[in-house]
Amino acid sequence: MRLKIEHTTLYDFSQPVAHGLQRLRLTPKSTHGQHVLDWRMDLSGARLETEYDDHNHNRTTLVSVDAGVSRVEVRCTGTVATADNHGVLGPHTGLMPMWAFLAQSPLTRPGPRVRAIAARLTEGRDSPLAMLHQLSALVLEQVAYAPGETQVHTSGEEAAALGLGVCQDHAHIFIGAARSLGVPARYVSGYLMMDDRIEQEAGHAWAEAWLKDLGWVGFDISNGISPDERYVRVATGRDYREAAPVTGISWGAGDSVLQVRLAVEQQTAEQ
Amino acid sequence: MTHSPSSFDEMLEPDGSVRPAYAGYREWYDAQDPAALRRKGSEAEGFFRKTGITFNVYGDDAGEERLIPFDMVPRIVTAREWRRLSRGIEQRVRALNAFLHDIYHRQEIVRAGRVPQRLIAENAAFLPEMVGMVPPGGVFTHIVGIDLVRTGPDEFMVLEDNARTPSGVSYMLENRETMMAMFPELFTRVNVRPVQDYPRRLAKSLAACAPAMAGERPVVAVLTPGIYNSAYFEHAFLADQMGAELVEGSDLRVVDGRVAMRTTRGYEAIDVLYRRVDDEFLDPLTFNPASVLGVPGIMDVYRAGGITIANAPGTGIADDKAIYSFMPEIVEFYTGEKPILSNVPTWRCSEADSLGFVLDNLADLVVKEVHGSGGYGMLIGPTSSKKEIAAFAAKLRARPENYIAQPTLALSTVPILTKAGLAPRHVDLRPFVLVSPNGIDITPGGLTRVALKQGSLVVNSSQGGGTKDRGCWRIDARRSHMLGRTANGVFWMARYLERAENTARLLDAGFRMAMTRDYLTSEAEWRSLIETVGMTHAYEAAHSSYTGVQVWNFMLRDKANPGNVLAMIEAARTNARAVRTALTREVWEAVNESWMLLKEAMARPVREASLGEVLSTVRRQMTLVRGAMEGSMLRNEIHNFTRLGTFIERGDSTARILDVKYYVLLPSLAWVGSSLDNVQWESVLRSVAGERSYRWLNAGSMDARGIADFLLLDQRFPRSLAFCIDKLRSNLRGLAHEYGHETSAHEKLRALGTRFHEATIESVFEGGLHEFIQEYIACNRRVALAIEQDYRFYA
Repeated sequence: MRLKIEHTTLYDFSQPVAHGLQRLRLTPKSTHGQHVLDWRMDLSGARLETEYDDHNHNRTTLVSVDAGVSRVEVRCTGTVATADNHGVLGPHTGLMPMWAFLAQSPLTRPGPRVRAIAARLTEGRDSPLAMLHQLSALVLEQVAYAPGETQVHTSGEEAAALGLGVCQDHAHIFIGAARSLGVPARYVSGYLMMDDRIEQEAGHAWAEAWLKDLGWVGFDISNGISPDERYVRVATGRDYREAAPVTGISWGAGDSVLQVRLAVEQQTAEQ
Repeated sequence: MTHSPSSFDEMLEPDGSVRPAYAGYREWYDAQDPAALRRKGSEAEGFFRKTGITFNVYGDDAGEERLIPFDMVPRIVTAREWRRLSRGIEQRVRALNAFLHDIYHRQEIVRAGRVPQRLIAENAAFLPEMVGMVPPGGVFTHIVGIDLVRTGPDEFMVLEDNARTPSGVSYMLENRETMMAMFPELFTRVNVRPVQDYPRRLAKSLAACAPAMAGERPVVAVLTPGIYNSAYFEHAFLADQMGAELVEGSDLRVVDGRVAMRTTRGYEAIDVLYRRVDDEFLDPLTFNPASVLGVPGIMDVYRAGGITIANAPGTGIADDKAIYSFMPEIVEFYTGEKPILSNVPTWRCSEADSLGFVLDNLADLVVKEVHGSGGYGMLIGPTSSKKEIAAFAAKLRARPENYIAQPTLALSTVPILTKAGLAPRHVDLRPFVLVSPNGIDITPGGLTRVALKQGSLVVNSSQGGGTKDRGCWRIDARRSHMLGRTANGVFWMARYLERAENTARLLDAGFRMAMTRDYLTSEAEWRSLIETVGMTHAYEAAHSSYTGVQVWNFMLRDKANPGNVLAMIEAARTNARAVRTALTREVWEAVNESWMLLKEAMARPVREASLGEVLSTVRRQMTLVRGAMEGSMLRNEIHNFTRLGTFIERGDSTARILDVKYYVLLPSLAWVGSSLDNVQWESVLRSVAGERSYRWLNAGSMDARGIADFLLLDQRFPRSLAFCIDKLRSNLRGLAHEYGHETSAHEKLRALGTRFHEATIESVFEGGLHEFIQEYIACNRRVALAIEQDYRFYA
């Protein structure tokens, strides 16, 4: 499937910025199951400082906010060819040691509420794939999808205690629980084309777990499925902090308001 | 001289004869007068204090500085001993770098089962952000300190590796400097290899590690957390000696994909950053978001290959004591050779057998935390009580993997000078090792630390022998432009010094005036003094009347007055410390000594009998600082900014003194020739140190017009407004010449200059003396602000 993506991130600052930096992980790579046909990033109110691959092999862009601006716009457009591998990505690549995906972070570390969810599992470690699918379903059952109830800094445990959350929270709970069960897991940020619309709500997030036989396997907890050809992986990391599309720091900027406009549509005609 | 029989003494054989290494020294020592030696010892201490070779202690009051104890007996290592040590150190350092590279790449050593994965995975010093990173030049740990202990003639062992941030090298260098200054004849007798070129070698070694994009002469900078850091002296010392810029986080930002420092001419890229800021605080965008000591985005620039960070982030993992216990395996794995230097035998408490042994023998062992450093959280069995041992055993059982244990070693002793003559003390030795793509360079010497509590820090010397010349250094570091913060620092140092002096002169004049008055009018004099310095509100909040002793103490040392003279001197010294690398040693020592003297002189409230002496000490010290500047500083931008600070402040001060007293100069109000006026006028002149000059120029005749003309418009008098403007003009011209262009400060000063050029004393009185002074004060301030902005003092 060919997906045409148009993703605009807007920052509005209440006061003009003296100096600011933003670390962007907004460039998908051609990896298992996806091939980037074209991609470009256009900046307004900001300029490119440097680009590199980070420790998770994400294409990372550092931009600085121009002094005096009160609006920054980052516009990504491109086309990605995808295939349906039933969420299976295969063997681990890169130099990050597997144990790094077993270590908990402040965002994933389970407390009593996440442990309680894991305790409801009936599937055992002898059938890990079934266990993880069940875990995914349990997380969604216990933590209803509810936009606006949590923030980017909310931990999995906090969202589980609230019983509400978005895809980021679902992923953190799943990752924390999987790791506590001895299964390496990581966070994925990317795009999902919802079938019934072109304008999507926001960037999407899901989780991947590593199994001995299959390698990395994706789990979209919020939608209760494994990613298929409607998904584009953009960045991965041990938690949201490492895979976040935008991480920023600014001085003299007052409050900032972030808006995201995202359109993902299937390109039918071959061009 | 006695020594404990169990330890190897580096000077004396068991039979009391002198070992060959120390023969030359001992011969010299025996010929010295013991009293003279002791006197030199206290001289050295005074010298260290004046130079500012101090360290701060964590947990003490911020800014409290302490001296490093210094001993005058050198540590002597023979050339033969040193050769073997060097080979061992080089091998170990090569292995450490290979290990660090491996740990952040394929972790072959873990895959091979030689080092347990757990030690890496559970180590907080492991930084995932470094995975896959190849630092420029392939070097992870650019500066390594290997701590060695000795237990016999040929038995050297490694006690600890310092791959993260080995410190102390400046003490080694300063101690050597001090020894050479005090005992030059000793160095002609004992043939000692020099360590003094360490900073130059460090600069070259760092420059050789610059990223590919750097020019032929890379820019090296030292990143310090600032003047309150315990090792600030060392940071400033090394930057100064290397000719590198000493930068703080606030000087740096990412510009055009590089890490750049704010100089007076704009942002300038840094190629190699020798950082003395911990990993955690290095980049708030990556690590601790609350850090203000680092540079946001530096890790991005680093991963993109735009800067060399020395040492690389994440090298601390090699300092872990559990990793240390695997160093023999690590050396063998990466070099394929048997380790030349052995470890101190170490039991890993994570292993059940070892734990059992350690628990059974706690009274004889030293137990250390694996991540600990600085001697915290450890147990020294032989000197601990049963209760302490029991308590430690409980901690050990709860978290065995957190500890290693070592035998209590009979460390070698070397002599130190005590009241009773030479006495042996246990020591270790930390040589400093530089790593670059050009090779491994070991400083022939090191830091000797004395292990006893009352012990001292002495410098080691090594003797004779051929230098192993590495000879492939070609790359030199390049001097960068002056930091905006540095310009700010010298500018304000000068302003505070000037302000302190002016306040002292003002007080002196007030004091003389008050002595000639009755109680009531003298109270008015004292009040006008407080008014001149603009502190009426603060004074009246603290005191209900104006008496001399209250006023002068308020102006000299009262904490209720943030602008007191002592605070000004301290502020000048703080600025001088922060820009230490921009000052000559003479200037820094003059400022530091002024602060020490005046702090002492004003430790208690100043009584009337000692006021004159205190005030003249202030004047004398400030004259000394000026002399040091005049005689030792290059006539470059640093000098220009210093002078600009002086004359902005001086002009402001003269103008304020005149403004408070302007009515006594108005001709219409003057009782010409009355004794009261004469006293008033003389007081005004005295407060700007102008009474003699004025008399000399005017042959003793005094009148209001003449005095006003003298203080405002006479270009010959160094405290007149016209003189200050003239100096500002020549120093700003100097900057324009050096920078190749003028700024808005030049424009603003030109406007002020024109106003003065056209003024005559008649036109001043016509337009109003008060108005004229007020206008000057405002213009002078605008010039100062323009200088701060144009030359990027703050942003």
